[in-house]
Amino acid sequence: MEMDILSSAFLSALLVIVLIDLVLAGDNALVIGLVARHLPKDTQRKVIFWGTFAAVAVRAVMAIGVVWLLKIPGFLVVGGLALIWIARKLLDPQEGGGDHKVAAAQTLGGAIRTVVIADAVMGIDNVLAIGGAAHGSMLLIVLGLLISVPIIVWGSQLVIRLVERWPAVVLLGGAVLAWTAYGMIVQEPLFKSWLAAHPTAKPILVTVIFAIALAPWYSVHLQPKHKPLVVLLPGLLLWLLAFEAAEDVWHLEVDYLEANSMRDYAIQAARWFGWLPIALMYLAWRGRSAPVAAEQTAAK
Amino acid sequence: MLLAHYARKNPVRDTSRSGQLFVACVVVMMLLSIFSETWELATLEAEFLASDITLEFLGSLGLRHWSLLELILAAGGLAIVLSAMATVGVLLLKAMTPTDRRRPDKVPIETPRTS
Repeated sequence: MEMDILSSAFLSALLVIVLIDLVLAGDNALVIGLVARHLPKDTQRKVIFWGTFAAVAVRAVMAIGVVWLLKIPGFLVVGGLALIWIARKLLDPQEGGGDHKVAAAQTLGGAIRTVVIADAVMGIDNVLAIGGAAHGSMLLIVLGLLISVPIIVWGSQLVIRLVERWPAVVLLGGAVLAWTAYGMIVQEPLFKSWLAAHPTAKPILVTVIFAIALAPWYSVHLQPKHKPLVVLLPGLLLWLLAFEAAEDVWHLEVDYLEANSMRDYAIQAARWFGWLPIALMYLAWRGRSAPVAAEQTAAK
Repeated sequence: MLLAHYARKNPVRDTSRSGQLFVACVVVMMLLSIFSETWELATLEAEFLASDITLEFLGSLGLRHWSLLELILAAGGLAIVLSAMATVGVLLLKAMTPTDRRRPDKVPIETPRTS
């Protein structure tokens, strides 16, 4: 789907892609340096050249693959869920596993192979996010790739300095990733007609997505006694969403205005209060495991 | 590893209050645009909702048709308005709160004694 270049939709999508390229830029240049550190100087230059070329080529191939994959029914949801996880990983480095160790290569072939694999692993989330934000526009995908190349090759220090000067850029990136994830999930052809028939599901879905994706941010500002909300809030929203889905699957009446039998009232009671015992069990389990976790932390 | 994680600052902990307020406003605007879509559809079905002035105002904004760029700009404006309101509120509160009696520069108000 090609958009008008000067339209606000195109400019918005371009802004999203620039932001994604900045916040999801990987340390490709640093990895190439680490892999080639024990090689002779002339071999290092070859590794740098071919490693950079491979990074760009791998991204281009992955972009074509992602565009093709996202056309398959079901993959927009998978991509959206992956973006939620990527947003969490962006806001909380520990969740993404943190730093990865790269072994120094002994040969040119080994170095290039390591660099290509590292490029593929680091670039997949960037390419997936761009694929989701481009809304099928090949121009935007190409622009996204073209913007990411100079960042990979020359812009490492610039990105680091940008984040140090304005850390809010990363938070904004997380919010935009969550927004893109929502856009992908609701565009899924398998769910489009169901979502059109259940308009209340969309606000619940977007709140769940933001609650999960931005949890590393807002949980820091919660007092310890309020931390369970990070799990309870999305859990409650998923509970309500499940009842919306159950309406079609098991032909239940979930609209309280339409309830007219004991079965319908029981379903309403389960819908609005059934989550309470589960929440209490979770709080009880959390209360029991918190002293054990504190002891383990003190022992370390 | 992401380049953003090489920065010395942790974005979750080290972002300034104004930065966090701006991003929070962006999130609120994003959620409002989705919610307004549901409200618009709900007012078509339920007449009693159409009389709610808040819903009518939100529906008239047509937030569901705003692009992300417009939402971000609106969030910036909202953040500025909220900051200004907070600043004015703090100044008003300070002005209306009497100074501590024990401060050395506090001017005592003497009332004339009637004999």
